[in-house]
Amino acid sequence: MNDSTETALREALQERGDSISPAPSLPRILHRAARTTAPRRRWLPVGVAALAAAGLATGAVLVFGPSAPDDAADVPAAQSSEPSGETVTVAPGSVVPMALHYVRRDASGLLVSGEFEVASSGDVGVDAVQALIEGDPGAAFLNGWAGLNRDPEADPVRVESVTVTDELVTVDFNRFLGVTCGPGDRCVDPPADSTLQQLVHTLQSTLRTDAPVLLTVAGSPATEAFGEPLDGPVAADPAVAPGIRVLAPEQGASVSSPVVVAGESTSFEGNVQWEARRGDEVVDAGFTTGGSMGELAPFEVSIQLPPGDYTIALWEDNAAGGAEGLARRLSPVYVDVTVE
Amino acid sequence: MTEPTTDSSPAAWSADDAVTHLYSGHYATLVRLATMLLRDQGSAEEVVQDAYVALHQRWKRLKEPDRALAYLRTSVVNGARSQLRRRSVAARHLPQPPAAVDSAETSALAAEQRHQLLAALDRLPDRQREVLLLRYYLDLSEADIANTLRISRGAVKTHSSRGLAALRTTWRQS
Repeated sequence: MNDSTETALREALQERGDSISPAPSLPRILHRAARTTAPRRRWLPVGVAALAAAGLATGAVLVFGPSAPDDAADVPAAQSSEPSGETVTVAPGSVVPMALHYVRRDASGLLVSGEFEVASSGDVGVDAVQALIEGDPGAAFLNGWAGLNRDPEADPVRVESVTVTDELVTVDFNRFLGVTCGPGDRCVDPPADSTLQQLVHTLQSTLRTDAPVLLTVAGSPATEAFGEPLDGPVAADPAVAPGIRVLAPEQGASVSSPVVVAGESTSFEGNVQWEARRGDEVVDAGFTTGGSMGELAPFEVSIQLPPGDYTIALWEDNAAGGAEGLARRLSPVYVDVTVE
Repeated sequence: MTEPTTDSSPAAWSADDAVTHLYSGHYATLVRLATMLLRDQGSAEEVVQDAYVALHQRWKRLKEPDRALAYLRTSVVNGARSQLRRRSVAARHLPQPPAAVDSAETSALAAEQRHQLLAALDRLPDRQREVLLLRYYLDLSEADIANTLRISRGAVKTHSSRGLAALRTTWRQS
């Protein structure tokens, strides 16, 4: 039905739109696109060596499953009942540091992350999701995934598989992901969107990808999770990410020394710790300064490194007085590079 | 600058061709949409440029190039949401909407009514505002709005009717 309000709204919006004159930007868009089309790699072999070295295990081996056909990478069409893509695996028993993401209690929707050392089942993606389901962030933070198995009578929720292509991460569960805190229950769960962001950010960090995450139940796309409708893959919301983001170099990039690591951060007193690992050796380490008090500010580190494969890790030391009890390293981020 | 090829089938376009075609046809409209979502043209232009760069990167993997505009629209709305969230986190408040620019052709009374209507639109919850902008500025169908916002058609109807109901109250009072 078309009434006078609708007509007036249409005209008012047209008028407002006409008053906006965008600046010509095509050359800038094409220039930016040309700079960002370098192929990305998710994991380098050194990544696994460094992961193993950071924990206790040795001899971790990176094994990819069969590659997905190109057309399986198309996000809107990802309705296949069979998981497609790669499974990221290490030797069972390897200890893998992971950034598990939880939700602040202050209703801001912001996530907090801590580095946890997870003894791998061999499938790193499955480990990350299972660690969230079993994770306890303490009293200061919320974990929407922990409540899934709150009811001892119910069939436990299990993650069946996690596969990744360039365009999509697919997580398959054994059963429907229901609302976990019922009326009268003495528990608090974060909103559904925050719970989903926990998963997306944790998986993207662990699998070194920025692909959105599709939830499936027994192979079919989930249409609902945590009481809210779910319509397709869930993308990461960068605005709720923990306080450290690396903007350069890109994951898997080949770079020359000195390696310039640039990003933006907000942390206690602005401090950001970093280290460059090669195999089981921390080659260099130090700290830099970004923003604080919730205000993001740029940071930059220049690291002289001989040729080779490295994992560069950045984090905020919990000793500085951040999220008490969560983990020693907060907001950890990792980028794997090859120095030529 | 890359000139588009003469082939009009999107499936045959290179990524540069696709971006160039979609820029000439839709860039200005998407910036205007994003400006109204964000109430800030500078941020809006960044969000829309990011969407085009992302489309360029994914072009070869898009299964349905004909749906590239839908992809851009969703990217723009998602980018605007992230910007708003970042702003609300950083500043804990949104900037005031810009004052309406009176058109020389409209009477002062009509201009004031439109100003109040747009001010009321700016006060709506984000999702209602998104639905109304897509419907009454871009003239999208219910199905296209649902696809752009990744919500059900039922949710589109609900947000639309609630938003319009609030605007009608303002309109009748003005």
